[in-house]
Amino acid sequence: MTIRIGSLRVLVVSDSDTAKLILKTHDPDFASKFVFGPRQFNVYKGSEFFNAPYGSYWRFMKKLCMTKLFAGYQLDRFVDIREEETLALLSTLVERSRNGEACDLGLEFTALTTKILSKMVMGKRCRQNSNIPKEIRKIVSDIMACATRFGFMELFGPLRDLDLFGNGKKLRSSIWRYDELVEKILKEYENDKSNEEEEKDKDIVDILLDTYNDPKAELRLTMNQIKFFILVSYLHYFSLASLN
Amino acid sequence: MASLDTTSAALQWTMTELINHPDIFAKIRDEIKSVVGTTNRLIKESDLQKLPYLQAAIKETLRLHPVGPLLRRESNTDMKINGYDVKSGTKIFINAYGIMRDPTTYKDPDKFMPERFLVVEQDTERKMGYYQQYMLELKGQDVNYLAFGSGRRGCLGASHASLVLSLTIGSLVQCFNWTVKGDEDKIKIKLPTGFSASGTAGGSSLMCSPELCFDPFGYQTK
Repeated sequence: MTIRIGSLRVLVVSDSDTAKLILKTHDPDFASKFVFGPRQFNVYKGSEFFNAPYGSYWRFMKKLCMTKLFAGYQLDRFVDIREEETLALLSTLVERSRNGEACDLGLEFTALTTKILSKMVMGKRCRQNSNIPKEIRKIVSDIMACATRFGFMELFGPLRDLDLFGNGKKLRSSIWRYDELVEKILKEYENDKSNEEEEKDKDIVDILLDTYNDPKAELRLTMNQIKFFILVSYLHYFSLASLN
Repeated sequence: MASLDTTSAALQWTMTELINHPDIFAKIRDEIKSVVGTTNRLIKESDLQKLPYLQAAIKETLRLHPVGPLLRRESNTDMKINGYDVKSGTKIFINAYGIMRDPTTYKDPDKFMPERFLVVEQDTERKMGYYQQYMLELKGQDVNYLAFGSGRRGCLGASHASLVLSLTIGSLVQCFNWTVKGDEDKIKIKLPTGFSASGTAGGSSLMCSPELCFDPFGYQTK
């Protein structure tokens, strides 16, 4: 079945046999993802990984994820982070139940996942400044809010390149606010780099910066690619949804 | 606005289903008790592979409420699929939501039945532990289950996400009894509109009261 969304034509597959052909048998031939919606407001244009076409940059990043970012010592570190943050959630809930109060589990869960992710990505900064998860969360929610507020016409219609309601402008300014914060964080990392540290103490930002500074790397990462990688990790929390 | 955080949406959906199905909630708690035994301690990540029913309940939640209901793909070359020509650059949605509620694969597809995943396990020819098989299936080895996508573009964070889900849900079930705020004892599930991942009562919030039944901090808090 094909559907038309505005000016976009999409083929919809709803049976598992055809899905198997696409996801398994012909997986490499369908290994790109399409993106819709306006993209001109993204200040990191061209630095996309999660939605990047199936090419050398995407393969490089995927390999980095599998061999470094989500492997070895990192996985052990993640176990500690998850158990620590689950305990923190439990202690909040114990307190609530003692006082006979109700709680909004939705909010508690969002706080939990934000803290887990922040510690995974930039654990060192979080230890020094516990407000970082909250600050990032705020900015990322703003970006989300703008990005989802685009109307139907703006997303799919021929008018999508005109910023009719000023949403694109807001979106761009939120992304710049994020840029400012993450720039500061990355600088702090670079400044702290003086003493050699052990592999097991590294967090995701450390590894990304190592790759950035490695002259022998297969592919030179750009700062924008790093910043955007971090942003999108937050936007989709490792993309249960978006990576699919 | 609805919660846009996928992991937190999945946590909410699971708690919603468990509060609405007290019998399943009780089974998970019994399973945890049998693993923890008389040691009286909080569950840890290393316990999770001994908790197949908990895992099945989470898997069932993601089957009914996938946070990524449509997978996006685009073809790189011209090819033939089912006898049709598919041009390079064709944009494709794979309807994971539809496939996971297909009555030919899943009996009573709209029902919340974690048991269905425990039965499948016994039928399998593969000689591997339940947990390994579970992880493989999460990653879309079985095209009938696409909560985390599949193939090269499948979800990178599937194992991490599933650990967060199991540990958090397991702890909440072990430590507390939950009641919904208000007169009703069930949470009304409103079907989400659009691309929203979360569709619980009242949009993003899930108000409920915890009643302590096992103190995870034991003597420390006395």
